[in-house]
Amino acid sequence: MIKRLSKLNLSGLWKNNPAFVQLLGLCPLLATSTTFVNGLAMGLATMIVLLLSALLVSLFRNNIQASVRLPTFMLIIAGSVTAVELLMKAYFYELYLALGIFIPLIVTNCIIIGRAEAFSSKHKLKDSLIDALVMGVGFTWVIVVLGSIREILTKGTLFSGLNMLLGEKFSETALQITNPQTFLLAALPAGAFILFGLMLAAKQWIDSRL
Amino acid sequence: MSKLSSKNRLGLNAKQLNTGKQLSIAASICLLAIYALFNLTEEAAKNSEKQYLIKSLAKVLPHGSFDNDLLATRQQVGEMIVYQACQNQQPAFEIFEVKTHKGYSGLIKLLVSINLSQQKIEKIRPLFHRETPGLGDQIDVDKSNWLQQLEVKLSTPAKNIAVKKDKGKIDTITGATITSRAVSNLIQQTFFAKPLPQLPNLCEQNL
Repeated sequence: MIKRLSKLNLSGLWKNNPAFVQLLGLCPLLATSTTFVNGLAMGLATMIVLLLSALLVSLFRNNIQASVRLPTFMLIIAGSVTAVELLMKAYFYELYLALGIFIPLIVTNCIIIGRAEAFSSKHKLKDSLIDALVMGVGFTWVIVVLGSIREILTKGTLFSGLNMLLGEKFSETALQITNPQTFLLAALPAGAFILFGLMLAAKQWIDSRL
Repeated sequence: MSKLSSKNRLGLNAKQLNTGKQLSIAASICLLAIYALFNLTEEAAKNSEKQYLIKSLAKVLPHGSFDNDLLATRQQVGEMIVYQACQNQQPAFEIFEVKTHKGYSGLIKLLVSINLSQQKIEKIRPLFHRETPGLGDQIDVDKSNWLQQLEVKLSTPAKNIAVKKDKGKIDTITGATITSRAVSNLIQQTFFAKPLPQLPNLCEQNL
């Protein structure tokens, strides 16, 4: 049991990382990783949706008919995403503005339907929740690292806009790392794609040394 | 349920009916849950939106330049929404919320404050936009000071308030001609092509 759990944990974070290895959810990954805070918020939102859908799919897995399981999963996922969007609009309005269209698009993030179909629909509640958490953390750390790199390259800062997530006390927390010179490519989705490719290459390099 | 294989009036067998039943139950539960959550968060969402508007309105006005509740002076004038910032029961600034759909990604909303005594544009701030990060989003004031060149006296000839490609005097944001043109034209058409609308003084009734 312990061995199985640790295997689950490790695989989602690195060896079977949803973004790095399964290459799922690239659309939000590339589009919203413009800053550290945007990346973190998108990662957390995705993680909450993953947890909600894993909870519901796993709870009702024996009541859902096999023939309509995918439409039912989609309903559950779409419902969870709408819930997250409503909560964000109510309590993190500026982040809601910053992430814009990409919150509703979490519905189409393949990580979520993928985990629902491949894992939650076949496993017990506890295992499903752990899997969702691990996959969520795996996705979040990748988008946060990509967001940080892009923020440093485009704005020369790190952690700017933390006040959108944590309130006004954190409005002066941005670290100025380099001179504010815009490296335009890194700000655009194309640059994100290239940087992501470099990150993938780095992962392969590290793996080959292990 | 005894005749499992027999078809009913719709030509569906029991299994298909059951499938439909399950999907409609799932959909109804989802709908109900979301409806409930919507009602629960509606108040907080409206409040957040209001706080954001108050914060944005305060940003286009000099510090301490008004003593009234700005939201109470809201007036709809055609497409625009106007707020009055009052001092001693007289409007000192008027803040126009104007919008255009000609941005590179559609809708751009701006807040423009007019200094009534000096007859000039005090400050312009974007309230909403989805322009390209790194290019069109230079209209954000924390990213560049491009908007400042539009903060001019209302007596400036209207033809000057246009990008240089349109024979005006406004520098274009590199790589974001469409955004620059949309914002310049919006400002020109609202404030320079025609006189400002004469608005009733709403300052007195709000005390």
